[in-house]
Amino acid sequence: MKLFKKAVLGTALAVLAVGLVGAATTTSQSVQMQIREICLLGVTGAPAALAIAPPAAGGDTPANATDNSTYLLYTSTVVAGKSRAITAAWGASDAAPAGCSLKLTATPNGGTNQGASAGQIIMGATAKNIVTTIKSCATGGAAGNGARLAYILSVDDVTALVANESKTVTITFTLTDAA
Amino acid sequence: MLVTKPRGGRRKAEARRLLLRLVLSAALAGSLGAISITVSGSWSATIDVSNLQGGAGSDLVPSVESPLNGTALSVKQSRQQSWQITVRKIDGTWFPDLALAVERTSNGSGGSGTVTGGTAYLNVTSVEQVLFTGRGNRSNIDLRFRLSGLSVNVPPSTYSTTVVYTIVQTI
Repeated sequence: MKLFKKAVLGTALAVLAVGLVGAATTTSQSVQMQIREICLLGVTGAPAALAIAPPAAGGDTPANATDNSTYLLYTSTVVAGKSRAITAAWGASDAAPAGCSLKLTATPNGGTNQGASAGQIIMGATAKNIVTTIKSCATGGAAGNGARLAYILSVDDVTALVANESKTVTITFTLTDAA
Repeated sequence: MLVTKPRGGRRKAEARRLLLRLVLSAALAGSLGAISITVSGSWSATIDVSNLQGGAGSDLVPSVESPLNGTALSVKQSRQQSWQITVRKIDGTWFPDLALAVERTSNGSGGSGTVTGGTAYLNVTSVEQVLFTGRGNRSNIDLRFRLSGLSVNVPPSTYSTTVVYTIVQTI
């Protein structure tokens, strides 16, 4: 009986203690974050003028003009399994000087998910891939980051060259979801 | 006819009455010490191109914060007693790089209560941790959240977690 009384007393004291000290209530709220897809592309400026210069020796074909001073900078976030590409095209009325073609190669710097070069393209009004398989990445925005653009104004037909002919073209780069 | 209960039976009845009294006393004490906590407001963050550190090529800012007073806790207590509030989270869709932290940004208002601590960010995990302590009634104790771990490595999606606040009276 003494044991029973002790048990009763112990239980009651425990309940009392909870009543005095352990009263607890809970409330909650939902916190939600939406990470959206990001697709942002920039270029570090315009290349220097590409001029076909006279050859060093008479009878030689004029040398191609080149510039590789500019870079494409891009930030991309994509869902799993998706990739993007960068395309290049110029306007419908744009053209290279007679006897020449403008060639372009974009070379990513090898960073994770920054894509692969699609090789050299000949510029035209139809958009062509220059970098493919871009996934979630940020190339960085400093000088030398991103995909280097190598332009070549190539002399294709020396007999078609017109002295002092000058052309200015506008090239549009687009970071787009891969087809 | 007079019926006398056996001695053992009387003791048992006595013990039952004692237990009943103590339980009722405890319940009364518990009700006198009733405490409740409510939360108001919420936070819904959208991370997009506007959260880049710079222009094209830059990564996302590493963290974003909610407004200083977007969320508030209120404590109601029938007696002027000490309490503590703990916090934990239950993740829904979540990404391991992301971390949610919370801090107290105001002392609240009303009543004669006080609050202490919690003014530095505390990383909220699945384990209960003390956010801050106090005493008595206090309303609109503002909280601010910080979401960190942001980068282009976090796949685009909607992430959610449930933040659970528990208040308990302390001695």
